[in-house]
Amino acid sequence: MNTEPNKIRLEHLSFFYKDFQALNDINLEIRPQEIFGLMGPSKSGKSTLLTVLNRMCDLIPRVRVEGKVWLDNEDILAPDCDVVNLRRRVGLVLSKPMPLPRSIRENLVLAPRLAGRPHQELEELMEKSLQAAQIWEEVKDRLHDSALKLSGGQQQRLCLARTLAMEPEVVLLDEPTSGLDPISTAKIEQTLFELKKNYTIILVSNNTKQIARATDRVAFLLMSQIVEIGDTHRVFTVPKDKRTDDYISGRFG
Amino acid sequence: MAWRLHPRITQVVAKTILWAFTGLTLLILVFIIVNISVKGLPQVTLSFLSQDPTDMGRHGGIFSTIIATVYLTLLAIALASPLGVGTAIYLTEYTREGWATRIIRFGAECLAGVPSIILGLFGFVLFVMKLGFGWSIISGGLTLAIMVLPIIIRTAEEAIKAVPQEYRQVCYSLGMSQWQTITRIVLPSALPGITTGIMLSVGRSLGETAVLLFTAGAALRTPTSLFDSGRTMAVHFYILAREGISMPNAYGTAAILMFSILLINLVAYGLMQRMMRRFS
Repeated sequence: MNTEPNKIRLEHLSFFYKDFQALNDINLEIRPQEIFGLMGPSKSGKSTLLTVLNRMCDLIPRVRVEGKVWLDNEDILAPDCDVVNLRRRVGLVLSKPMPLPRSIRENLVLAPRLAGRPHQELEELMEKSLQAAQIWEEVKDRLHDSALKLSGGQQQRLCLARTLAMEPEVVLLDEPTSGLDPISTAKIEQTLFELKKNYTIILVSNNTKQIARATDRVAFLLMSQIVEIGDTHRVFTVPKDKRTDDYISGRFG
Repeated sequence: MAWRLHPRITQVVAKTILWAFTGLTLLILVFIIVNISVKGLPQVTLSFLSQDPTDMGRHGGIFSTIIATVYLTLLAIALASPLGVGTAIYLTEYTREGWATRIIRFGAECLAGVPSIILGLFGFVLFVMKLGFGWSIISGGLTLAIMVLPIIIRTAEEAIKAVPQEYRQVCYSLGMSQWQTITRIVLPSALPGITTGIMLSVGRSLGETAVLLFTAGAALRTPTSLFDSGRTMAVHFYILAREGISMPNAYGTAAILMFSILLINLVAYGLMQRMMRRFS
């Protein structure tokens, strides 16, 4: 029985890089099947928050985490949490498109195959994921070409498809459209909208317009703390906090 | 006012001097190759390659020494490669930089600096005497392996470090374990560099004499077991020349050895070029 209505719940989460506090007492609930936006100036802690959610922060030396993060009913910061399994459930798309030096096909099927998916499912999984990331039509005739030959926008959608091929429950996106042209950006946003039916999505972006367009709810982070959380429409029309108002209207120093 | 050369003249002078240095280096190489070839290649016939030496090497060919060379080199590489690559993986992937990695790396550097004659003595004491392997392929192979280990560790470490960190991040974020990441992505990307190090080690092993005089002995029979003594081409050359047995046959052996090593270095160089292209 699952009594937890939220997909992810953060309780008093703090995060330190050596003596710099990157997150300060974050409390946050993320509901299933929503696109949740995280916005804020650079260094406000947005990306750090993402790295905690699938424990990629483990790779950085000398960091300290306090508080609790619940995924469904599981404490993912617990020492006995199976990190490999967690990362299969919570996928991350990095801000810089980073295809592996393999064919397009291999980029898609490598991780699912190593996770133990049967071979006969892989082809279908690959096509489904590439279609979901709106890139199937562009690559279906050259699946055996190197993924490094794709354009920047195509690479980013390929990376999104690669994450989706693991069929995660939550997809974390760290500025997925930074450095992309408006057409590619529109395609990615369209993709996110489609994906919402099946996934919980957390989108980090510097671009307030994108947050306003693409997300259901949003949190505004400033100096490692949450300033305001709410429905995106409400936050962007009647922000409660003066600092939020300043940020979204571009008056921030 | 002091008299000064026009920059264009200093430029020309500098260029000429540097060109001369480069030319001299090349000239030495060419001289050695030509010298060995002229004196050695006339001896090289099919029967020189396919017959065993007779009468201490005064007559006959060098077949048994080729076989001993191949055995010793293969054994050394087969032992040192997994150890060296394993150490490199451990140093780069499984530990954070700290005092432990620094000590291991320093140790490897020291090992690289040990003169081969000392290594030979060490191999003699440990493998030949203490462990009772006698002068044999196994004693020689083990000692050669110790000799080339630092080369393999160093090149493999550099090659693994050159694999972009982002690849590892991507693999982990896709729920791949550390071992899967290393075997599926990191090692394949580092393979050209690792291979280069192994090829360099092959070259070192082929040309080594000091270590083998102490550990593999100088028997002229074709070795048939790991515990047989064997004489490599380099050792054969040394003995033929040193004891004045047959200078023509010594040069013949030298020519074969030199061209084998040149060929291997060319292959290693080619691989290095490929790796550079891939990561630049």
